[in-house]
Amino acid sequence: MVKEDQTPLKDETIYNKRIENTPEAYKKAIRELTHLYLRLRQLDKAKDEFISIASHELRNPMAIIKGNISMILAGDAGLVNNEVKDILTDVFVAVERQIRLVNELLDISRIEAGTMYFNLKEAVNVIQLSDLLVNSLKGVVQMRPVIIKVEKPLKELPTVQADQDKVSQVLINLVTNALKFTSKGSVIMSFYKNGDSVVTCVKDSGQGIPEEQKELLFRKFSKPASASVGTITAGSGLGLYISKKYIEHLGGQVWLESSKLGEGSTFCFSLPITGSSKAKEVAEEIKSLQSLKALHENLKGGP
Amino acid sequence: MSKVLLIEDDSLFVKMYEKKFSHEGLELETALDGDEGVEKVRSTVPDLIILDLMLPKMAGSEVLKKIKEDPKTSGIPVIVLTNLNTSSDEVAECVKLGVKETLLKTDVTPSQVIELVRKHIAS
Repeated sequence: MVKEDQTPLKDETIYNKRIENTPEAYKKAIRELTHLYLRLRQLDKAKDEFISIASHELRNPMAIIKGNISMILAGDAGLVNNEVKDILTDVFVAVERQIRLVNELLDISRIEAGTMYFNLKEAVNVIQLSDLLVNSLKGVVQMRPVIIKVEKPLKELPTVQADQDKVSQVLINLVTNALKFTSKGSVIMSFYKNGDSVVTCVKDSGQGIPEEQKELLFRKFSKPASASVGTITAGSGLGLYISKKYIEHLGGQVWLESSKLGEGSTFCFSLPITGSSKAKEVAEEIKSLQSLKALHENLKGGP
Repeated sequence: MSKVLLIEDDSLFVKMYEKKFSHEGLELETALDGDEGVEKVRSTVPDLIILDLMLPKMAGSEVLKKIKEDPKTSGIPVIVLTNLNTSSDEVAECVKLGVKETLLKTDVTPSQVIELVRKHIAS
């Protein structure tokens, strides 16, 4: 184990200094740089460990709260009257929201540190993923006058190269956002081919986005001022930001296609078609980033 | 009756699962650290193991290695139930060693875990 260095890092340590043009001075500078580098690595490791432990410690109590409430709601502890059920359902929804927030914050810290792992699959079927999502949401939507459906294209579309879990997460973000702002009407998912990409669109007939909020949409913690409707409650304002980062990493783009107040919004994202030149480029890039990460891990590791 | 072993150090989490299992009429053995976990796997040879990864005394991935090394226990299905991200290196290591499921604790309710337990014991 390397002895913990407690000295604070000072920016002016090295690059504000003038180095004399002598071998000794250069040797000294290299020594200082090496020290600085080791110290940075140590701090980086400490930060990683902190995030990992903090997330672990935050998740445990939330899992216990969620699990116990689900058991009471399922009647495992005896009959529960409707009033209590109603209250506990609110608690359940709140703890789910908190869980999502912790997950999102962790995702962001990983995205920004460049340590997010992408499990790239050569052939992903976005329509299939959308079907799965819509089926899983049926229970949520049932109680409201909102139709949610997947509009199959007339001609079969090619598959895309992507990380299936990340794409599912983006779909969940877009669809739950759409549901949040659509008290009645529809949320429709459609697909088309555009050059080397497949584009997925989520169109809702909800309240639409005011002009002044449009450019803030994909920023961190951006949240519309208006209250949400229905059973899905307000989120953290991180969903679109994370979606954008994911899709961009996968070689695509996310955008607001259109939005009119009172008429609804359409969000779209593109992903590179399996085997396309863009797909190959992204695969190379992710591979090299991951081998770099592995190298970094190896450097950090070991007692 | 099928026997399940839960290796988990958070006593509140253990208590919750004890209640759930007894409610479902299933037998649950528990171990509160990695060492005890390995010992109980060997002494009780359960039908399924639910394993946490961040454990005192011996990490979950080490416990799993020991389970897989021993021919007497290597065939027991293991479900990893952890708070570590499913994309973390620890989880990836467990997947390599061969586990049935890797679940994030906050993603599932005890009922969903029971469903998976039944499915893997049956198969």
